[in-house]
Amino acid sequence: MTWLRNARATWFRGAPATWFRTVPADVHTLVGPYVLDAASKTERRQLEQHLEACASCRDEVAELRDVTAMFPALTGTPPPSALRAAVLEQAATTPQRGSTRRPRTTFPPRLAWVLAAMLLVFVLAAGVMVAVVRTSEPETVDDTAQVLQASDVQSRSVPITGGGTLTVVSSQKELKSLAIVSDVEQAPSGRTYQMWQLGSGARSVATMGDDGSVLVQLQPDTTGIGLTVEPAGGSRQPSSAPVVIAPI
Amino acid sequence: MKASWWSQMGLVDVAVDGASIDELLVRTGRGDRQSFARLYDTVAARVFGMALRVICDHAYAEDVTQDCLVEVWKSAPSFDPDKGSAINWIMTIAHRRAVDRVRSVQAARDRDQRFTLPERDFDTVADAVTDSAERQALRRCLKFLTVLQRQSIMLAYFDGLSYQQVSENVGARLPAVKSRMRDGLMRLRDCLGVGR
Repeated sequence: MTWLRNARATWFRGAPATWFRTVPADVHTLVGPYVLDAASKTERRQLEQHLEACASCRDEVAELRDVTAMFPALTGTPPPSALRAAVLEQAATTPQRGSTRRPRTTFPPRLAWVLAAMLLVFVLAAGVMVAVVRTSEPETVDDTAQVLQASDVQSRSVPITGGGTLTVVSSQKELKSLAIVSDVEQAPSGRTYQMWQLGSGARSVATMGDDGSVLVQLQPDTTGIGLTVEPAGGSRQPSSAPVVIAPI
Repeated sequence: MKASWWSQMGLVDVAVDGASIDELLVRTGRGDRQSFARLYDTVAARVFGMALRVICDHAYAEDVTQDCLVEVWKSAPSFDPDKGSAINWIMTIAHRRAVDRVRSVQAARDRDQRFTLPERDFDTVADAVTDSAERQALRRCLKFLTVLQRQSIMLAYFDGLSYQQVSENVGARLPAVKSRMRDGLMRLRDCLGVGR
């Protein structure tokens, strides 16, 4: 077998040292099981080490994975519809890796007080108009505080198409939401943003040229607050696709 | 579009504007929740159906689907479309999670009965859910594999068996099973034309 050892020695000359150190001779035979997730965790790691040093092996794995990625077409089955809401809900409170975007958060009660204080400062300092939809109710900062201090307060922030954020702080118990539009582009000339509460239909809440906040008296069937761009003066019903919808 | 959105009571719009799965995943990586919702609508049936087939348990399959899609959301910023397709990226996460889950609950379960059904018909559940052209191409190409190649691949992928378990099931030696998996997949790759 001396000839074989010599032949190998010749072939390996100039090969990266890692080939000898970390990789068992037959590790490449694991490519099939690896792509099918049929290898053990130890073998997975061994092959992944091997892949680091072998570009053509990485290509092979990627190509074979393109094949296995098609297999689920054979067994497609719609999941229960409740799963969609559960996934979107969990994603909304989960930050993305390597991203600085803030997730939508559900605050524990103690944090809600801090949030309440911060938002009050925002509302007062910005001097934004607080409009109460049900005009029979007094238009006071107390209503805002009532929402922010509610035991079931929830906050959701959703990016607005074209830039900016719609933050909705709601209390189902109080049936009120504070809807805050921030960093939004100014509405094009002759147009305005119009806020709607969405339930069995769309009810106009307010119109606004750019940033602002609105205290919304929710209807029992309201499931979200949305924003559309409408002709100046607003529309009776939304006439364009929403630039944002924040679920409540 | 004009009338449909608000009647959906606050659901994000899922109208198809022709965005590919790759585009949806890239947008998801920028924190775009509407694209993530549409991505969910596009891939959830494939992820769930695969998980259900591997795990044979509705609750576990839902759990794995949720885990997987939240992981997709979390890791989406690292998706690089130049390195591979989104569906490849997503299904790699999904299948590994399904298999890891089935291995962790396997001890508590007698799976022997399932081992006797390696050549089952997959068409029973898939209709109208996934692209039928893709499915037909797969079914056609699977016929070009040898019985051992096909059994090895299907038992590993859809039953979550390790290659050692596959070897016991089909009565072939380990090296043979490993290489049948690899050359079977290569044959499928050539037949399906998914090479790069």
